[in-house]
Amino acid sequence: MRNSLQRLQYRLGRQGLFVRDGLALTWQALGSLPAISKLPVRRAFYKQLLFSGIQSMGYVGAIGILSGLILVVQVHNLIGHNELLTLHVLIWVIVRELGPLLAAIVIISRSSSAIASELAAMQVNGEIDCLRRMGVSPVSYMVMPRILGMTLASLALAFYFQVVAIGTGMVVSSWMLDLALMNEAANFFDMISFLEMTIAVLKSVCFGVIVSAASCYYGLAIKRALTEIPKAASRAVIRSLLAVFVCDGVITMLFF
Amino acid sequence: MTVLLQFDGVACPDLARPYSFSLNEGDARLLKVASEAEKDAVIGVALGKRRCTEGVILVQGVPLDESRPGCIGWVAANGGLISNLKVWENVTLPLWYHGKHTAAETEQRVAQWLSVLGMVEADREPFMASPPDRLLSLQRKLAGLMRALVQSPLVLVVDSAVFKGVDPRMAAVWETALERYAAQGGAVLAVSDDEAALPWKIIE
Repeated sequence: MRNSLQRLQYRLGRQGLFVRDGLALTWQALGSLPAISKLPVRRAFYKQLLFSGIQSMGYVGAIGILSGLILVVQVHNLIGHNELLTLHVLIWVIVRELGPLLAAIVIISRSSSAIASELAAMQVNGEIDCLRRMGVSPVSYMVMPRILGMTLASLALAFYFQVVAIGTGMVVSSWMLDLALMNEAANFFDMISFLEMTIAVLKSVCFGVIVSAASCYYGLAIKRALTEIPKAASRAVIRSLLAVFVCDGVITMLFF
Repeated sequence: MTVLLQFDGVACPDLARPYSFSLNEGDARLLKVASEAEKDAVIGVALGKRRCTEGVILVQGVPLDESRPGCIGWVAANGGLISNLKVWENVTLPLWYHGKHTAAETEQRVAQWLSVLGMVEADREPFMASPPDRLLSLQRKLAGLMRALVQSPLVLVVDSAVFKGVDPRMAAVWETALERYAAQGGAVLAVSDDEAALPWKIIE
């Protein structure tokens, strides 16, 4: 019993350390935002935006089309032909939850392990030390552009997913109910509230920051051994997922 | 002569003894140390990455902590390249991180040092476009040396192990390049734990 309690205490302590150090890293990265004016930092930011954002658009678009289609078909099966309720469900599910969450999941699956293993390999090869010796801050050169790039990518991908999924949902719905698409669009804009859009933006930003900070933290926190690289990547993915769902739960409980 | 770098009774746990010396504008000097650990410690202290427990390091009379970032450059033993950047990005990283320079000016600087280091024009473009993992050990060292020379700091700290395994003719070219760099108004401090090191004046 005592051993179990000690183990629980130890595990909670480690989670606490992750939260504390992750927040400290994010704070340092925010403090180094002015370094974005330096060309190498800007290049790292563009590369991150390209990798996490633009190169993910295909997957997010495909998932968006399928999500909109599946959701509308399921809602029709469940409640019958009810245009307004279908639109409500689309807003509840796609705008409030699935948009930010699925964009974050795509970013986690593509970028989180990539960043963590890249930084971990650099740490193992002594490249982070090389940067320090050249007077290049790893936080401003490696961490900040990644956090900024992934946060912007998360925001843009969530918006893109929402547009694609809701567009597909409305097209399928208007085809199944034999309605004019323009009427559906007008109804959608009447129904959606400013709060819902704001919370979706807030969630996307929070998820982007959490995923990027966790990936960078686990990449940089490893000891100098090659076997630590895959561990860093898997920790980054699992903890990012967990943290994103916790954050989603907290925001949803606070605002809805 | 302006004193560019001054070690005044500098001590830290890995150093066998406290170090006191100064480097003037135009100097290229060799500091011999007892072991590799001590060499790393001296380089770390000179670059401001290790705290000294006693003494002070001055750059142009200003404490190292308060000097402008990038005023001391570094040549690593193995080139010290960043693996996810191409050679061109590696070479320009400290230059563009610590200051604002146009692409044309940078290209001119790179071309000038490449010709000093004896690289023929036909080899330059593939070399600059190559990722570090496709380079030979010698080419990696050359890229590291280029990076430091192009950055053009006040003082260049050289790990003299960069000359290990380099054929004597090439090593002579690199030494000449470093001397030329010092002659242009900088200073070079080579740190060595090896007996057969550079033929420069040794710091006592």
